[in-house]
Amino acid sequence: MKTGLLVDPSDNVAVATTMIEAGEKIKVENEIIIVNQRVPVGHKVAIKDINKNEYVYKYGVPIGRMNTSVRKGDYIHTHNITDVTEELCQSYIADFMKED
Amino acid sequence: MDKFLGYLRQDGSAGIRNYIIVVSTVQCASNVAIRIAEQTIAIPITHDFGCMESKENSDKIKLGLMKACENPNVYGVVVVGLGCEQIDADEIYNYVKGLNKPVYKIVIQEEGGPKQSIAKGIEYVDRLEKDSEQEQRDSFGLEKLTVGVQCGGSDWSTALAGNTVIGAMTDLIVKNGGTVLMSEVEGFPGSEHVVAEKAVNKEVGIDIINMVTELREDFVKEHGQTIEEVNPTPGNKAGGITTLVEKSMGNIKKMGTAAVQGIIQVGEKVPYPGLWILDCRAQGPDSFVTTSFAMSGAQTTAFSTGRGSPLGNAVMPLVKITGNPETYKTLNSIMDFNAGRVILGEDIPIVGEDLYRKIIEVADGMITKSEDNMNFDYTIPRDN
Repeated sequence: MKTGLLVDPSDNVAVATTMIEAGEKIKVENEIIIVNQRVPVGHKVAIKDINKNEYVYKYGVPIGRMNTSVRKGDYIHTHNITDVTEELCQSYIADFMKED
Repeated sequence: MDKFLGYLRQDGSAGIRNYIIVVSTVQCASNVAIRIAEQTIAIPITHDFGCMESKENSDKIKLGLMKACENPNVYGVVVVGLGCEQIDADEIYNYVKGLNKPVYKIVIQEEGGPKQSIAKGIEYVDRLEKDSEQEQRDSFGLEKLTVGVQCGGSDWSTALAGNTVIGAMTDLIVKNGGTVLMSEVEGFPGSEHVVAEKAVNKEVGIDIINMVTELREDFVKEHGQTIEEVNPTPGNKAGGITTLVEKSMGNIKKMGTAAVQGIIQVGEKVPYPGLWILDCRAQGPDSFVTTSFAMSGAQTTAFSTGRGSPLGNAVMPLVKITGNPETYKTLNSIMDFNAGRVILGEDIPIVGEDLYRKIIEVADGMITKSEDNMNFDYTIPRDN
């Protein structure tokens, strides 16, 4: 069976290590997930339902925000993620500078 | 604690190789330096500069040449100058003399021409080779080992496998008392908060934030756009990277989980072991960064490349790692390590420990593919 690579245990997406076709099953850690759309190698698939406005986690950190709700097994990329890098960096930096 | 076998130098550092280099001070002397190296075991260090340059750039090239000679892996040096150039051969010669390293000097205008200079150069290198054969390796703790970490020629596997495996290796080098140098600071924006949180203390964290804020501002000044506006690139997106945080996190994976001790500048050595950031911002090829690692005394660099880059360095063996199992097969002639095992299901800590062992073996004398292929690049970081 094809696999999805879970980069960090707290992530809500896995990475395709080979091209996955719509309807194919993949193994992510010990779970079997049915992939809903074609996912090219190196691209991301949701391993749980993620609601609109929730963060997408990869490498154990938020990498962007969902602009629509997705189901487990959905393909995740620029079509449903908003890049909020500036906002994330600015808020973290403000917090970091404030902390004692 | 693990040990490695190296050659003790007069300044207390330990080389993992006994390289002999032929250094040209100016473009006009480069051909002679190459001819000497072709007929001996020496490695040539040449460049297209050395005259008619701004003081700032001339100083950068001079620093790059001096630091090449100073790298612990260099046993001895032959300096080749023309005689009327901006970068004075005497100055390089005296610098190496001051390090108590064997050094010879040839000035083409004083030797009677290129043929005479080449003949003399060959004689000098042969003499250095004979003398270097007397040197014996001794056992050293990892506090004398500095390893650079870098990536280039990336694909989807670089962040997932190549760089995460390097990160696991970084942790082991640091845990065993060694030094790791991370650069590619132009790739920090998007994860500067994560890097800052790795800092050993608040001051270092603020230094990191300030460095990234400055380079973000410089980018806007230079290009009239923010880094976010041009990143990720269309190529990144085609490879599956959606946001700048995601792109940037893949880069900093090479740092592992170790604490960042501080930031050093190009040409500086670390004050004490641990994980350090080298602030090399010169925009250019991958070899700007590898060369700046060598200039800070790194004896080797772990370099991950998903697509496959043949890069090497004139004074430092590169350990070439690919996270792509396919590339490991098709470009095996340039690869030392298969981190693609992670893609096929192996655990990152296990593969990372194997890479750590490989680095120690290379330090002990195992020849790398970059050396075997004679990829002896040396690209001194400078402004365009």
